[in-house]
Amino acid sequence: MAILETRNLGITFDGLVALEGVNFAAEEGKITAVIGPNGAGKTTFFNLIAGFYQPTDGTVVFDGKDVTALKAYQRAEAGIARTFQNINLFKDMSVMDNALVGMHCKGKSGVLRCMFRTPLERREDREFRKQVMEYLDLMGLADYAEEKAGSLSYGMQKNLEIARALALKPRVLLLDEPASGLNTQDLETLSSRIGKIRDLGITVVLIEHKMDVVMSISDHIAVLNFGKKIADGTPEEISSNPEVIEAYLGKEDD
Amino acid sequence: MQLIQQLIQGVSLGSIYGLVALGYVLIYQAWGVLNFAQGEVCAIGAFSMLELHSELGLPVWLAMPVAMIVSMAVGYLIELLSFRPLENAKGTSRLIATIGVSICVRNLLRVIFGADSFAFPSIFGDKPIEIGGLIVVPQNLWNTAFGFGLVILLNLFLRHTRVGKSMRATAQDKEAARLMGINVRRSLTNTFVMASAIGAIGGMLLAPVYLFNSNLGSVIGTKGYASAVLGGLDYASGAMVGGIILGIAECLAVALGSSAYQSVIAYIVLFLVLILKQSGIMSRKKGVEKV
Amino acid sequence: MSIGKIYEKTRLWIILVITFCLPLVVSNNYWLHILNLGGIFAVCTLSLNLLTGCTGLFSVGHIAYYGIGAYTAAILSTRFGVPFLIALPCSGLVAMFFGILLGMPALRLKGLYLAISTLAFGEIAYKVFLNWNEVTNGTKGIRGIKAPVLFGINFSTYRAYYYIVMIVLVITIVLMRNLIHSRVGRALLSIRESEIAAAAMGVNTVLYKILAFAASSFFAGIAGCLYAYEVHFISPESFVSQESTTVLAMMVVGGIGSIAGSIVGAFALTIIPEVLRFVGDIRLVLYGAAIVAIIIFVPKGLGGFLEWLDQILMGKVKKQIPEEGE
Repeated sequence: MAILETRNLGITFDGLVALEGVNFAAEEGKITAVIGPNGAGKTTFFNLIAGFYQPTDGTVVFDGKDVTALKAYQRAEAGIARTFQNINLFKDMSVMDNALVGMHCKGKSGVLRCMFRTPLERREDREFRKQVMEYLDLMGLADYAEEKAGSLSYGMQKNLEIARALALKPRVLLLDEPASGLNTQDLETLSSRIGKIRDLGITVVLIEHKMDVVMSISDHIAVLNFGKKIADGTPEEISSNPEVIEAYLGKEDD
Repeated sequence: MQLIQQLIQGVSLGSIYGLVALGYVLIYQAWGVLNFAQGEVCAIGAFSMLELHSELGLPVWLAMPVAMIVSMAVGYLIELLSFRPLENAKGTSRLIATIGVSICVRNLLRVIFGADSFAFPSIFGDKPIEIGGLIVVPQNLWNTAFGFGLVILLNLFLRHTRVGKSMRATAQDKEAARLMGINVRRSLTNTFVMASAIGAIGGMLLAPVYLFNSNLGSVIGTKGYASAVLGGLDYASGAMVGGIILGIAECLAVALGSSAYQSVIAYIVLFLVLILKQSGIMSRKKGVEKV
Repeated sequence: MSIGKIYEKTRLWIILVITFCLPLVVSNNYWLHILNLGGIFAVCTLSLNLLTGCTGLFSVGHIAYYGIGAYTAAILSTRFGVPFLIALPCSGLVAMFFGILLGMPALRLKGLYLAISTLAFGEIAYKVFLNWNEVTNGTKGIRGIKAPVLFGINFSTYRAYYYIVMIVLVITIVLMRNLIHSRVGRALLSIRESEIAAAAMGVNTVLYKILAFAASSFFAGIAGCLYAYEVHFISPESFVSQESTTVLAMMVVGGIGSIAGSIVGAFALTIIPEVLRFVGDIRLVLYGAAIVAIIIFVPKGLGGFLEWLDQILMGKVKKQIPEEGE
């Protein structure tokens, strides 16, 4: 069953069509990849799903409900988490605090409760810290919990992006180029971690350029080109689809 | 008729506001800082003029450029001592540093000139003349002419001279300008000194309008950056538009019989414009943010 | 137990004891008054720090809330005979009302444009204090604000009032500290760091910005009330827009976003001009220059310097982070 669907999704910037008529579905509990050449509209597509842009036409359906009218924070609340292509961490906050912001929606403490540190707030805080540690551990960051996020290395910052998104306990996780800039060894760790995330029952949708990563971990692949979906299928189907080869694989070296 | 009278007054006042605002915009574009000390640089222009013209008896045509040079020198010092060391600092720190400078300069003026108010010499004469039933003070006409004239001159300078072009390139993209072989350091300084000169003229023209004492800088400053922001800090043409809107709003407030709340009305206009047009009147930014 | 450990355990108590004993040592009324003003400004700076330092919303008109708090307290006290303990929260609430009122439309604005709109609000508030004679008594101001009487004790001397100021300051510090290190505080910080990422984490940025405005103006109003009871006479001149920049300068000189910094900054910039009195008229020139010098030479602020000293005294060395952590 598809947990996330877009129907005829399109957006126009200043009369320029960035995305048009995209029908997309991500099966629950699977890893779905969105690929396509640079400028194909992949990140725009993510921004539409996560609610950062309002589509010109079409709808986004999450868990059977139309979420097109919801704002970004409401979609996060509903269970759509994302990472950013250009790392967008809270640089001056600790690794722990970054991940704790991810737990924001799960918390109930309001201003007064926080100001007076009521027992309820303390218990919630303790509980959250424990849970967050699990995600930091999964992403290999447990030892750096107290460091400033901005002081981490590039690869670790990318991991923190994922850990922070996981802290939302999302049902769908959108990963925007998680492998970019990583070396071969890190790529393997990343692939196995994405597998683990799926095993937690989280549906993963990822944008990726590195074809070997995409082919090895994806259950399903959608291909965008010039703002339109040109193909859709299993990794085998995609790698033998002539249109995809011409539009994407044929022109690019990787 | 009274309304038209106030409208003329407003445009006249506004064109000087625009001139002062231009100083803010120039520095903002080059340095990325709203320079709260700019008002004090304007005041220094006015005080130098007072000293040179009234005390030393220099004729206006000589006193004016000399006063400008004094302001430019002070501007250069401010740039050297407080802007350059903070080039890589956080925006807030740089902003507060300019506030520190303004406190410093304002009180220096108070130490030198005391807290008393002075009668500023009217440069263009204040005997009203009548044109078609409207009573016009020459100062008003001159203000408008000066304001617009200088803006046009500055535009020509920025577009057609080598120094001006370097300044524009630096304001747009420092890195690219550096790669093009432009001396970015010198361009930044040039911009600052230029803004100080413009400020000095603004100060001289505004001094007769307000109570002329050591507090002049903060009064002029407030009008200046309000106009600059109103027009949109990223647009040089915005300064003039912002200034004139502010000028007209203030004068209409007087015409509507509320001199006590004159500046309140100006600020309400400012507030409303900002709410409606979030980055100033001349901004062309679209609503969609890059994520 | 090492000296560092002992220091770590006792430092808070040392500061509290010094704070408590200070008025017993300082006998000069004038200096007690300055200390009280320092404490009052510390509350005000802390409130600004919550808005500007933590949430990243620039406010250049903060003194308006302080003024609204002061006028509320003065009017309640002189016209309606409301006791101090009721006037105090009322001042905060009235200031908070205006904070929310300004906060709602101003949220659409960013950076300098927000700053200018708060500045406009500050100017408008000042003009209202100045011209609304029926309520504020115009330029003449409001006189005769009686010293608070609590539990039968009349806090009419500067020394007695000092303890009220310090108790309010300590409570403010504790509340701010709790808030910043909690769910709500992290949401505020995340907005400062990246509004987009904050929204992606499910933070309702609009709501939390209004919240920051509300909490911040509440504490500024409290500070204003303390001020009214300290000087017994308020007039519009205490709330001109230059005062807003003073509070901003206190925050920056202390170190943006740091609680310790706000407190140190407030006391430093209250005391420096007084210490400089001996140089005569030129003191404010030096004061301005000092602000610039501190920003240039102590970029993390006086608070940052103290925190560094604190770490050294506790014997904590910052650990190195390896390049690749896999």
